[in-house]
Amino acid sequence: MKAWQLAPLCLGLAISSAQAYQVSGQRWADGETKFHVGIPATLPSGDPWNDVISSAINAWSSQVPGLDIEIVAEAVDPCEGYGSSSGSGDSSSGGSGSSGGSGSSGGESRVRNPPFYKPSENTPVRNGMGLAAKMCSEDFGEDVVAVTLVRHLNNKPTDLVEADIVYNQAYQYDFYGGAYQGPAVDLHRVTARQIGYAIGLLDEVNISSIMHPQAPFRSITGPTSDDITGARVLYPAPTSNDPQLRLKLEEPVSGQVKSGISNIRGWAVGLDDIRLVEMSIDNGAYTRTPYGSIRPDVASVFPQYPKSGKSGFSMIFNWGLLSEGSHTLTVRVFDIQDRSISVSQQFNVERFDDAYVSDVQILGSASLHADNKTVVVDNVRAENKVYDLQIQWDNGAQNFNIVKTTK
Amino acid sequence: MNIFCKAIATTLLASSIVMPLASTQASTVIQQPIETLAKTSDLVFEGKVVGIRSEAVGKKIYTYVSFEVNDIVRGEYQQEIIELRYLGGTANGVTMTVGDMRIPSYGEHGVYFVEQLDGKTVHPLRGWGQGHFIVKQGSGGQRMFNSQGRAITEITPTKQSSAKARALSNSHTAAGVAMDTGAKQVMDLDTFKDSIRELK
Repeated sequence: MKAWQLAPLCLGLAISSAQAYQVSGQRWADGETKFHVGIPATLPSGDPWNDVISSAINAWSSQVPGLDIEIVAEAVDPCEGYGSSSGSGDSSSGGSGSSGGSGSSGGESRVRNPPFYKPSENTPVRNGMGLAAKMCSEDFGEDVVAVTLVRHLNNKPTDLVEADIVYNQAYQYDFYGGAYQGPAVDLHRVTARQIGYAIGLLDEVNISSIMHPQAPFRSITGPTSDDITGARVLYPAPTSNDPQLRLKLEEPVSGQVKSGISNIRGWAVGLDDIRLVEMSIDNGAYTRTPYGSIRPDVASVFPQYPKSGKSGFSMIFNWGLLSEGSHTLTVRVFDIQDRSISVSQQFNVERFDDAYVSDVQILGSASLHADNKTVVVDNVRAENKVYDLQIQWDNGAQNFNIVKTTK
Repeated sequence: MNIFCKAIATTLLASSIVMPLASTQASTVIQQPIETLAKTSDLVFEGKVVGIRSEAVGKKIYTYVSFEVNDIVRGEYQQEIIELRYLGGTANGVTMTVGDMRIPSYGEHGVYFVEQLDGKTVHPLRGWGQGHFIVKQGSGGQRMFNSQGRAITEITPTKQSSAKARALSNSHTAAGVAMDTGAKQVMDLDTFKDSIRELK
């Protein structure tokens, strides 16, 4: 059964399992990302901002084995590159030491952490979190407590590349630990919700969820079981059913007729990193095969394997270098623990006498074979030799291919 | 469910289920009573989306949505077209998303609560999704829905404006906006606008 034929069945299964979580369609590649947490302020409860934020992040990552969020204890302006307001004085992404709040109950700022560190301008994209009066130089707007900005590249639509969280300095924040007390905003709840956005979840209004729009002001203190289920769908972890290595040789397929120049290709994934992909024809010497090309289709089917999105291997090969007839291609893969897996495929070669042909003239005519799949071309002169050719569609190469040459 | 099913189901859930139900209250926005939204919006208008464009300014991406103004519900506005600016969108091969902010689509007909006519807010509508209502043409005329597609049955002013009262609310749109997913008595456009005009 082909994948598209499975779709209605799978959707039915998904619906029958009746989860309510909503996903954006984006995720962090390999389930790995870093958040820079460095807001040197302390909440009225006495808890440092960074501790509460870290706790909210861990509330997700500790329950989702396929999600690895590294917390970097460093202040990074979330508006870095967005028109950061740190120069104009309206940002305190870790800098001012404010515990929030001009608009709500008062609360003395108690700065206990080191001063704000401003990274150099050449720093690569980093996920930052900050407390500011403006949202990257834009007004937050009334009643907006926190905003998460996420980015993805359109040529990799499923991969998040950056997420930044800005808390509105106009609010007073605190950490309640249990029931919501108000009027200050509970930093843990708000952060858990913003992290939900940052890992690819969306608002959920039909079930108990930290992603409910009003969850930060209710009894929910962190991700609920539904939230965790959603995150685990986005970031599945390997199970005991997942082998250490998986290998698929997609071209040539078994019994395929190859001619001319085309690809040898496939993919390989491992629970540990892949160290080497190599191939051999007819039990000859192994040749290293380039590995690591982008395969979003593999990532979507095997997201539980690290780096499955960059799991392709391919090599251009001139089949005319082989003799006409049956051959065997073996691909062998090693991971960093030297575990290996291999696959062999038998295929057939059709060729002209010369491995590389540049002078071809069709002197005869072409006709369609009775099987409605084969084009027969008579009297083809190639490098001063005359052949009859049969041409068929090649599914693997998605091209027409010579499947028989007769002199 | 096998692994292929999981992947396909995930994709389908993302593309088929999530998109039509995409929520509109992006990030963390405090819920407010509908009368507060009405009173603190510079403009409430009925209009239709006639143009959308996105542009990148440095790392930021903005989406400008142009509306043909059909009726002014509250506030003053003299021109036929109004352009609202949303932070986020797609430009130069990059998509920038703000929480799960919902930007109106081309041709959308709705009632919109504009927070500041001359403002530069992240979201141009008051209360984000709370100030975004959609008009749909049905057999019984023009009916009102919230931005998530849930039918609106009544506008009931509420005095519950304290944080504690808000915390007790079960609604995910503005407090005082009653919704019925069964859509038995969906509010019509004119009644909705009259209710918004009468809010004090």
